[in-house]
Amino acid sequence: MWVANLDKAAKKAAAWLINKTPIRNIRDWGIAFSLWPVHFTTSCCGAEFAAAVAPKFDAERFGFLPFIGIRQCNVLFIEGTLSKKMGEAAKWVYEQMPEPKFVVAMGACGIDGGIFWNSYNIVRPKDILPVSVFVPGCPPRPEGIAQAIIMLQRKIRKGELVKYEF
Amino acid sequence: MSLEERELEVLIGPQHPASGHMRMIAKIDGDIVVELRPNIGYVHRSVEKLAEAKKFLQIIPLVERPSLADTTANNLAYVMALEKLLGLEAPPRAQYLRTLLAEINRIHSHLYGLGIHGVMIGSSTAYMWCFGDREPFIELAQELTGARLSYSYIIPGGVRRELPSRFTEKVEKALRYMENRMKDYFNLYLNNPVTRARLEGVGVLSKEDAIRLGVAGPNLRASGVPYDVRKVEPYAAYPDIDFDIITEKVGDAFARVMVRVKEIQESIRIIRQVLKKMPEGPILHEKYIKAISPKMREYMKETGEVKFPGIFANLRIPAGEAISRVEGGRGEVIFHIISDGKMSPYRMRMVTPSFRNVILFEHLNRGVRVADIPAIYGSLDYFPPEADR
Amino acid sequence: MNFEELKSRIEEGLRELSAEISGKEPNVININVSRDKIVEVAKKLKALGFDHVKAVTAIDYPNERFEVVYIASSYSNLDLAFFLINLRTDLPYNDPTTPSLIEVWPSAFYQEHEEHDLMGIVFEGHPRMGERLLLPESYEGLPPLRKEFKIKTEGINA
Ligand code: SF4
Repeated sequence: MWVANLDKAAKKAAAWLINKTPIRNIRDWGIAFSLWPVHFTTSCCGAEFAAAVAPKFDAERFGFLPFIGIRQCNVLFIEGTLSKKMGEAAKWVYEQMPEPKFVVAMGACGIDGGIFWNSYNIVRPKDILPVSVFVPGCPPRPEGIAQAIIMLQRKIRKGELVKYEF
Repeated sequence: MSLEERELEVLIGPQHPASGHMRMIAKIDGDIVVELRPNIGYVHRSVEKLAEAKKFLQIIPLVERPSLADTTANNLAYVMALEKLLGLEAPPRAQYLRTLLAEINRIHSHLYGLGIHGVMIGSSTAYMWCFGDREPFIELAQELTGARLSYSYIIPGGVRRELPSRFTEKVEKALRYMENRMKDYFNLYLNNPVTRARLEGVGVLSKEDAIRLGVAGPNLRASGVPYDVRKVEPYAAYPDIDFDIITEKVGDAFARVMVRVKEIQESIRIIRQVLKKMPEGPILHEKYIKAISPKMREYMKETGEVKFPGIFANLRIPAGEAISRVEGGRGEVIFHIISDGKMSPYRMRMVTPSFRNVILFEHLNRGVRVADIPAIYGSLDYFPPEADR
Repeated sequence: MNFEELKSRIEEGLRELSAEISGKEPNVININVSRDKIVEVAKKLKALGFDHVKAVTAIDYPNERFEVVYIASSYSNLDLAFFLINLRTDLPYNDPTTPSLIEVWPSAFYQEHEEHDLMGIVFEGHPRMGERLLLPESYEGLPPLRKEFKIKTEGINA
């Protein structure tokens, strides 16, 4: 019992500390520049996403590098239309990512179905996932993706998205 | 232990770097794949159904979306089917412009395929190079059409824009750059012992099987079948152009990659010829030019941008049936359009090369090692949205 | 080989099979057969050199009939590659079953499966009938490519 209480107290102290101003700022600053999107292509926007991390547009300079294992990632990029089948998969992927995690929806399809708005086989990302940033365009240009990354970083640094609770 | 007990079912994808937007269900025995079944449909967006509810001109962007890296092929094939039904042909200059865009697109589509293949076999260099070298060609296409990937450049009766000024020089610069780069590709990637070891003798598709399974595109030619729609049923400006069909004999993953690389070189040749032979003249069928108001015609002359004639908004296609085929970067695209004389097609069947190549997953992955699955997948240049439509 | 030659050669090959043959210049040959003859016709066509199927289209004419079109052509004989054979068969609306041609043309495997999935045509002898291909496993209801299946439309003529 005694040990358990100590544990709890330590956790509380950590939570207090990590949400306190100087440390919190450092924390958010750190997160903002270590964004690891999951390697999860959902639709044709993936072609432009791939171009965005390639040499010319080089998203890595924002601290943004696609990674393979879901367990080591914190950003889920919905690259365009989510079909019903893919929507299920997107939910699984999202659930398996560790906190803090962010969702960005790419393309007109990511917003409201785009050119496929009346298709019988799509879901809107906003209905199944908490999307923080939308990127308009069909497909969005790689610059648009860069802009989305910067917006996401700003949001993180404002402390809007990351909350540690113990 | 009996064989059945030792088999294990592994689901690869859809979240997996070596699967793209699909799932593969592999039965494995140790390191050997006993059976692999593709589970597709993760990107099925019902293009064929939506087309029935859209007007003919609105369908152009729709059919481009499934294969975003290779949009010209779909665009051209669809418009060719419409033109067959309308009974008109685009003027020669428009045909040359179509060919020009198609070949620029072929180059960057092949580079896209090679790059993704690089990711799959773990060669980041290949990915970075291919995607970097793709950009000059995307930029050329952008200058010509105004968009990076989704061009919608080809319209019934012609094309949407004139050649921009000093375009020939820019193209020449890009082509020369690519030619020089090609040497590096051979030195560092294609003749690299690691690449060779991963690809040679892997996923061999014999000529008989390629024919039997109705495979399309570079995958077919890598098995030694010299079939290319550009030669078999020449369209656009291809009848006037001198080029070779690239084939390989072996039919393994390396041969498929080689066909793509050599086709890039062939496309460079074609583009040079197209620019040299480009005739003067209008870029839209005179029937449509007449339908444009005189003021807009002035504007068109000044800017080289086609203003759509009013009849395009409610374009009616005469009743009938048309089949068109086009050799895109990934292979043969087929449109089968049935029109009943209304403003939307009665039925539009779109068969993409990737869909025809799905059958190869089952066929090629029998008895290979697990690590070969991505190498084979990548060599097929399979693009799931295109297959699922 | 020119169009007329090929047409007469096909007519000759299919003489006993009561197939209706009509041509559309420059390269399309339509062959209409009833569904019980379709396998034999396909075998004959294969023997003539048409070795693969490029597309299988199913068309829905509500309350009237379904039409299945196999577009076959040749890879092994490049003289024939220019021609597209449309092998067509009509199916009654209440019983859209037809023998599968995958034995003759394995290249039709996924195409037939797709038409089964999206149009509800049953290809007898196809090992994956009843399974989904493109639609999610949980999909229920009308096959979406049928005309009765309505989707939302936009604009003033909606
Ligand atoms: S927004 Fe456009 S490019 Fe992106 S997934 Fe949708 S249709 Fe494709």
